[in-house]
Amino acid sequence: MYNTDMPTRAELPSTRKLVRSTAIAAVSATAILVAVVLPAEYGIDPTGVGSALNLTEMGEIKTQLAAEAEADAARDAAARAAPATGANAATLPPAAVGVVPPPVAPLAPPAPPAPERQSSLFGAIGGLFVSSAVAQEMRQDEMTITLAPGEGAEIKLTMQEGEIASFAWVVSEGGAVNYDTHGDGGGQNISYEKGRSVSSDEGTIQAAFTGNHGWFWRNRGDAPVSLTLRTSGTYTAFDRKV
Amino acid sequence: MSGSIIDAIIGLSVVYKALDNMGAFQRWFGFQPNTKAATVIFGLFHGFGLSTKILEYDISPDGLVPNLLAFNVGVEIGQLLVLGAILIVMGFWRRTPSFFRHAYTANAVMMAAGFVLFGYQVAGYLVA
Repeated sequence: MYNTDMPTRAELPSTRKLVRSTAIAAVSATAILVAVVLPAEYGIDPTGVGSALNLTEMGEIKTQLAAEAEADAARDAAARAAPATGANAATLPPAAVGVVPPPVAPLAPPAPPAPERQSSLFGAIGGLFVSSAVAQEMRQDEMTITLAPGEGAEIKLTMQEGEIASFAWVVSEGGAVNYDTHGDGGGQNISYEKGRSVSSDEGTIQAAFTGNHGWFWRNRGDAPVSLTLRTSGTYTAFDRKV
Repeated sequence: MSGSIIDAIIGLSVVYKALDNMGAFQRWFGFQPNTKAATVIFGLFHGFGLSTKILEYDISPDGLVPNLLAFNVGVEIGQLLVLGAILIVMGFWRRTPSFFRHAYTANAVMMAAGFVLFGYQVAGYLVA
């Protein structure tokens, strides 16, 4: 391999020039870090430049997502550590593969969230009630949740491969959410559909594999919103995961 | 080991290479550090940097060794393609009369980028 010939000592840049260049590089790097990188990555904005460029919000979102991912991983680890209880996949009744449930009735937008957290309490009670329903039967569920600005929520249906569930969800008047309709289970992951600033969606989910399939929503708006989800199908559980 | 620390060292390796290209070590210490040795040492850190990223993907243990080998073959092929293209472009750049002046400036910019990467990773380590 040919390397460039060694320059003679006289051709080398002077120490003064090298030190000056290094200092300029270090000062520019510090300026870029403080004005752009720290706001955009960590939401740290000592100069206010990041906010002026709308970068601080990006950093805050990244920090929030990182914290949620960490909490999620900790929860998964705790779940793995706990001894497995309840029915495993082998004892479940055969899936009603290919049975298409009737579409759920159209939803009226829920009322905007009240100050007290009544709706989520109602949802929790509803969840307890519906989880006792018998597997394999066609069932219907409905839950209303409240999302504060920046808050995310997840509702999952426990489905076997090929099972189909109908769903409809709608956000309270004037609100919109980002959503990810997705599934996980047995080490597999799938995202069926994603959207931003959407106020309602409806359709069907066909489970690509046996596991939990459902919706993640996040309210990126400035005001709290209510969201009502209605589902029907032969799934075995309807749970709020987050 | 924390990925931030490894990435901070990678940032410093960019600064090192920029100074090396500018002839700073020859000027300051009177000799050219062995490029091959530097490549091995920094290559090791870059490898650690890549492996911490792969660990974060939480990949399946099923067929792990063939997958990792295939991944590395893919990385090497990609690097050879990119380096081949860069070598051609650099060859033409070197023939221009203003090469040394522009190369010096480019290395100063690269050094600034290395400092940004270093600061970004150190800040990430302190924040986390």
